[in-house]
This record gives sequence, structure tokens and C-alpha cells, in this order.
Amino acid sequence: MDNISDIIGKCRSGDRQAFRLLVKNFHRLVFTIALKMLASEDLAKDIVQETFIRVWQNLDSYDDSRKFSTWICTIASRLCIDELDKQKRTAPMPDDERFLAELVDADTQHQLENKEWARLVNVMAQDLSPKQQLVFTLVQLQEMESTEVQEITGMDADRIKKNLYVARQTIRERLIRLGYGK
Amino acid sequence: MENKDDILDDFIARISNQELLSVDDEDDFIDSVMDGIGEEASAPVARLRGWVIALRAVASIAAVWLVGMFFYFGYGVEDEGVAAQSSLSHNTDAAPTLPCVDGNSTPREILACYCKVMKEQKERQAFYNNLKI
Repeated sequence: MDNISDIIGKCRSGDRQAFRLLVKNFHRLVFTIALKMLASEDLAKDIVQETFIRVWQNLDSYDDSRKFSTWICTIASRLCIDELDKQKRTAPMPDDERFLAELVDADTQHQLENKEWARLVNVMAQDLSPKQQLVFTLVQLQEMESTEVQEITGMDADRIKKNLYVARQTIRERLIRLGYGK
Repeated sequence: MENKDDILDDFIARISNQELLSVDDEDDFIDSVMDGIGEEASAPVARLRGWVIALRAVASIAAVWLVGMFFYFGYGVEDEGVAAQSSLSHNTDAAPTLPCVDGNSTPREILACYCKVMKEQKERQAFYNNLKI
């Protein structure tokens, strides 16, 4: 298989098959972040679509010295933040809270499905600002390196630390309210 | 009760380290993403095409109008006296007047008149050339 810079080179010359390969390789990453940010499969799909449109339109401005996954995550994250700014958060459903409690009680870790992630995020991110949620998602859920998170969010290390601290405190309090750790 | 930090870290450990998520119908989804790219890519071209058509239409109208104005003002619709004087003139280099048009003439009529006047002027030119010989 071609490496990523070869694929990008072909995309720049208008090769749609190469771009399809790019979509195939990176749509999961974008979808994962979008779903964990927006708690909605449909919205996450829209974000994937919009992200790849932006990638297609702006490939010429992509700096090859940057990691492509970081660049695409930056685009997706900004779209997610915009979407969250537009939305008004709705209170989590009792079912979602019950699901989180069951997850907490379960002995083993299992691969969460999309709908389960949506429920989980609905409960966890209830009191977080979009930026706090983004930092928490990238650092804790996606386990990205600090430099990459700085590049994606455009925040310096200090601000990331502060946002992460508040996000962790908020989620911890919510978990305790839901009875976790008793 | 567990240490507070352990609570959160334990919870995060349960939900992190997961595989990347995916949509149910991956191939269909990729197709729809590519369709979206196609629409976006063709949209500017379609818009450009629309502008070209509109510009061409405007240019055609302007050209017809300009030709009409050229014949109308360039050769003048003079009164019969001036036209008669001009037609009697031996100066064949002067721009011909168009006695057969008036303010209501269409561009087609102006053009026909111009051709007629030019033909007469050429004949007159030939006549005077013969006289010189």
C-alpha cells in the first residue's frame, strides 16, 4: 500500500481513488472523536463528511511536515466545537445514567458500541464546556500525546492542564453522585 | 470509599483503550462521503459555467447594441439637404451619410442602407476614376 504522503500527493493532483483511500484510512479516527464529543451517531457522521470536504478543499495548504492524523483531527475538533457551541445541552435521560451505573458495576471491560458511547458521553460531559470536553476526549479517551493535543486544540500546555483538571473534577463528582466507588 | 483519583482513573481505564469506532455500513458510508466530495468539487465549476453563460449573453446583447449605435451615430442620420449635398460631393473619402434611415430604423435596415450607400459610393469612385483617365 502507498504511504500517506504518496496518497496525499495523488489526491492533490485530483485522484479520487487516492482520496477514497484516505477516507478509508482516517474516517474511523474522525468518527470516534466526533462521537465522543457530540454523543450522536448522526452528528458524528455529518462531522466526518464535513471534515473530508474541508480536507479535499484544503489539501494544498496541508504542511507535509505535520502528521496527517493531527491535521485531520484539528479540522474535526474545530467542527465539533462549533457544533457544540450551536447546541443546547439536554439533560441526560435516566436510562443513560442507569447505563453508566451498570457499566461501572460491570467486572470486565468490554468494547463499547456507538450507542453506548453516546449515552456515556451524554452523562459524563453534561457539565463540561466544549473545550474541556475536547481536552478530556483527546487526552484521556484517545490517549494522545501532549504535543499533539496542543497542536489540535491550539492551547498551550498550561491551558490544557487547567481544562483537563476541571474536566476530571467535574466527571469525578458526577461519578460519585451516581454512586461509583461505594 | 476508594481514593477519589482512583475512582476516576478506574473508570477511565474501563472506557479507554478501546478500538476506533466505526459506522455500521462502512462501505456505503465511504461512498456517501465521496459523493459529498463530488458535489462540493463540481459546485464551483457549475457556478462558473453559469457565470460564463450569463456573461456571454450580456456580451452578445452589448455587441448588437454597439453595432447599431455605430451605424446610427457613426454615419449619422442627416437631413435630406445634407445627405443630398454629400451625395453630390466628389470627395469620396468622406464618410457616407445614410439617407435611407431614420430614428426608427432597425439595425438590419441600417446595415442594408449602409451596404447600398457603399455600393453607390464605389460606383461613383469608379466613374470619377474613369474621368481622370
